[in-house]
Amino acid sequence: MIHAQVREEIAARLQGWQGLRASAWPMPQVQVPAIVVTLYPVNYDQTYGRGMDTLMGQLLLFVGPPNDRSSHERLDAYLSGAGDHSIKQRLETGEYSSFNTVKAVNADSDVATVAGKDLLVGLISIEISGSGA
Amino acid sequence: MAQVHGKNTVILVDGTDISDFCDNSTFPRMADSHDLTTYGKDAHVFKGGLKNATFDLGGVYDNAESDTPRVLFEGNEGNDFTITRRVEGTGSGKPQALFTGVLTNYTETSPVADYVRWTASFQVSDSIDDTPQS
Repeated sequence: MIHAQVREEIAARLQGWQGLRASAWPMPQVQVPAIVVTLYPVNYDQTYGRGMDTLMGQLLLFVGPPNDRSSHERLDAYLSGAGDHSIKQRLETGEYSSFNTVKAVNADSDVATVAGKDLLVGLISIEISGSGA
Repeated sequence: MAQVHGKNTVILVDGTDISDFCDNSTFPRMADSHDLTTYGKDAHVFKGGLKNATFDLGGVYDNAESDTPRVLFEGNEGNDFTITRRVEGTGSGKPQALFTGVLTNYTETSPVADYVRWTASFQVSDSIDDTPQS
């Protein structure tokens, strides 16, 4: 797996879908709803001969001000395991060339300060597998 | 003298390199022992007999259409396979075990929170050729 390609493919799968602005790289400014792909740790040599590595990552989902009901409704929709806004479903039904599988393992929420503004953030942990070579 | 990491192990089955799908293998070598104790002895006396071995391997399931453990083994239980085990990897002078293995078990396991996995067990048939790689 080339990790930069993994980032790009995951971001491309989410870019423009259900209003999301997706980025493979950190963004200086965030316009909600936005999602950023972060990676690591990576586990090398899961099979002989560099056959498989597994790569963990986290998707940072920025949805809006933490005290707005609409932010929480948006977060609920994106973090749901089903429904037309489910990021888990969207990711796991994609077809990718730079890796074999991606699985959304769990999700949580937090508040982060971005450019001086507090934002409600969804934290989606993902697990990716692909060739080690 | 140096330690050898398991990640370099190479497994060939009928000439197909399936190392990419394997993350574990064990190769116990055994022999029969015959009790030849006679009267007057204070302890058992044994003599070695026929050699015997099994070979178990397993790893991560892959859905490719050719050259995977599933394609090679599924439905072929009871068949002979030519197995090459290179515990230190491929290279001139490195050790190699070449033998015929009868597939006695092929199992796929699907844990809900992990990757699909497979295991295969072989009964080694006849002698093992331990000639190092040329």
